[in-house]
Amino acid sequence: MSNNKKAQIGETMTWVVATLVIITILAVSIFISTAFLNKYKRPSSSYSQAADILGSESFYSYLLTNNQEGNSIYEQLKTEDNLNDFNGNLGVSIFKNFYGKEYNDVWLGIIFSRTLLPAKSNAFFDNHPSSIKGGDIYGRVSDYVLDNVILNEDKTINLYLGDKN
Amino acid sequence: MRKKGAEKILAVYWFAILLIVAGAIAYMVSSFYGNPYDIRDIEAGILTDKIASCVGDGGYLREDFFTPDFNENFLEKCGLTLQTEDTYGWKNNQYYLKLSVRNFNSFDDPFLEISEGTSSLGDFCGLEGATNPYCLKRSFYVIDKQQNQYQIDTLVIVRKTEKNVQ
Repeated sequence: MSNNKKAQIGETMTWVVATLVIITILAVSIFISTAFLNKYKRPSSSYSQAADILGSESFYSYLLTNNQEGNSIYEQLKTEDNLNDFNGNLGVSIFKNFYGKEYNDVWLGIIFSRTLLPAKSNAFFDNHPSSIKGGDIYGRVSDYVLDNVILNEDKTINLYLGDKN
Repeated sequence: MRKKGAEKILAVYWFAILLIVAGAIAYMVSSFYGNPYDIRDIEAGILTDKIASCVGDGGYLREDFFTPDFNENFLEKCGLTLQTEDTYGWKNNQYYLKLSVRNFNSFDDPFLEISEGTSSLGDFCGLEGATNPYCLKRSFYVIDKQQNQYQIDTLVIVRKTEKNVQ
């Protein structure tokens, strides 16, 4: 009789402990899902942004801006090998000023298609971000938007906005 | 007889455990997926892009930009609508947008401002907290055909808190 009672107590204790374990696991799961996972949800920012419309608008207006002689920046860049004081400083005051807080990498410059190092560094925007940070064979470094305007068959003017904050 | 009674108790016990586990899983799933995604920044970005595309015309400022007709009918001219769905007691008061035009590289006050929507939403810009309206300020450069250079600052505010943050 006594042995039978001891066995019953042992079996009951097993079930009580099992129940407590199950309830503890559930309580921990609920706590984690409500306290840590149930936060303010935002869509993933890892998607590739196709374009920056405001950056593009600024870029096209920039290229159409004339210097004091009446030559547009587009025409200047067609005949010159790099940014000059006028278009370089204007580029800095537009693109670094407007988009420097939104993007860590802001670069404006000329890309030559038939050279080993296609992106030409300049005094206003330094080196192309891909030459500093690496990147794939197309010079892409993380999330970026790119605007290109062909100047002639050898070169394009390139606005690179990358690594968005 | 006693064994049959114990089996019944055990069946009730298992049923109770099953209910507790199922209830807990349902609670966890609903607490995770029940909260909405906050897409107000994307919505504000799209509105800003629409404004910039409307104001610019092939690199130049659109020719009727400074006309009273354009300023007074800005939404219509740009194909925008600030109406919202009729839920949560919203009465088409969930958006505000403002364009400020100034001469480029000048620190003068804007010489032209165009605004539409609920201006009181602007009071919340700069305040911390996800339950405040979302404010997006951006700028772009534009010239007109006479080579006058302008800086246009856009401010777009989206409230819609009930639908995006809970």
